Amino acid sequence: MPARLIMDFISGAWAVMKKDALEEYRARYAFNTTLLFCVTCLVMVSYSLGGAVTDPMLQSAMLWVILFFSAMTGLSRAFIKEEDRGTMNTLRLCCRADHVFYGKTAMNFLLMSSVIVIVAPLFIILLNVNMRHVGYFALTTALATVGLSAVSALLSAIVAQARARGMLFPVLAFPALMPVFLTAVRATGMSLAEAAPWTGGGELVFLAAYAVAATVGGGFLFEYVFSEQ
Amino acid sequence: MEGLILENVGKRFGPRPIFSGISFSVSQGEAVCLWGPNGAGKSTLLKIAAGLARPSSGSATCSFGGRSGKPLEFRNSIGVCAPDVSLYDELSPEENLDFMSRARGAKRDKAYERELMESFSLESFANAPLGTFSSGMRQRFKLIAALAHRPRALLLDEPSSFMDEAGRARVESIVASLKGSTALLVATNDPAERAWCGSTVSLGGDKFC
Repeated sequence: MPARLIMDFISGAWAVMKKDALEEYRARYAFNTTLLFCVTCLVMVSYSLGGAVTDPMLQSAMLWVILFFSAMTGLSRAFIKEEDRGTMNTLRLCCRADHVFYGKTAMNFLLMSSVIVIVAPLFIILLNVNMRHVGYFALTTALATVGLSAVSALLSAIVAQARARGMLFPVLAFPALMPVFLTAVRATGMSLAEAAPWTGGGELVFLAAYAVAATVGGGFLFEYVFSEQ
Repeated sequence: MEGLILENVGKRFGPRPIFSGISFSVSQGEAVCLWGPNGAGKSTLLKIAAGLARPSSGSATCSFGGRSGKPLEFRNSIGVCAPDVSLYDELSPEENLDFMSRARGAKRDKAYERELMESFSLESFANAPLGTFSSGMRQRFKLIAALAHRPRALLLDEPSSFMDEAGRARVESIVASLKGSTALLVATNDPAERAWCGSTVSLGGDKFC
């Protein structure tokens, strides 16, 4: 019986993610917006600083400021587009709330990961970054992206029903994502520094805990946002 | 009783009451019309019956297979075709139906889907993006999507709007074929659609007829 429940859950969340991925593949709106924002910012920062910033913490902060604001533009659309196109009711009629939340979170993760895969090498080249601990950097960005994706999915569902959506999303996201943002900056800075980052490990533990809390807690809270209007 | 039950349902938007104290039921095999002028609350009441809107007072419940609960607990038993329920423009009819059946956790009846597509003359558009469809074609496909999982309760809000004569005739014949087996709730102010139903719930006073 539990195996069947798990299969139902995976199948439902997969259906939502597959639908979103197919829509995004055809329209390429969120991916293009997020990627263009990231690349433009990186190029501007690179030209304006001209390799003057060599401190790992400053380089890391620049990367995460760019990723954070690009996430604000791309991930906020997860539910806003459903509300705008009148498909939110279709989701309500066909899907269980938890399937929608985890499907949307997975799609957000896929979107941000695709952007980071392109942006990270550009960041290294354009800002002349010396990436010393690639594994630590990959784990940091993966964990931070999980937290970012889950919180963005929940907040997008909340703001989708408001009028001042565009303004409200970053306002709500800022305090909710601040802990993960600060920790990701520190952990990424450590992956660029000479000293071995694995010995401490507190940052990764925090990012993992945040990711778990955001995905599990978000799943519970989402039921109230999603059900009836 | 198997079907939809609305008890003492009321709805207000802020201080403005739309309707109150509405009670009726739609059992399987019965067709009920929600009848009234624009702004009377027909679509809102239909959304409450589908579980898509919360009533300000009263309750809407579903009862199927010896089980009762909120309408959205019966996703596999309810089909809705309404202006507020849109489908995905970037996806084709085939992909929309695939998503909806997977999301419901239901097995697809492809033969029945093909039959519906043919009956609404959309079979040659099965793989075209919905965004390229005309208003009438979209309305036809909305009906197909509402029917594809063989719902036990079908909720229709002005189902033949945007349709040509052939489309209207097709909707009428489908409604007629479902009358004996499905709980049908039709919100309309079109006398032709009202004539499909056995009984009527009037909203917005007696002056509208």
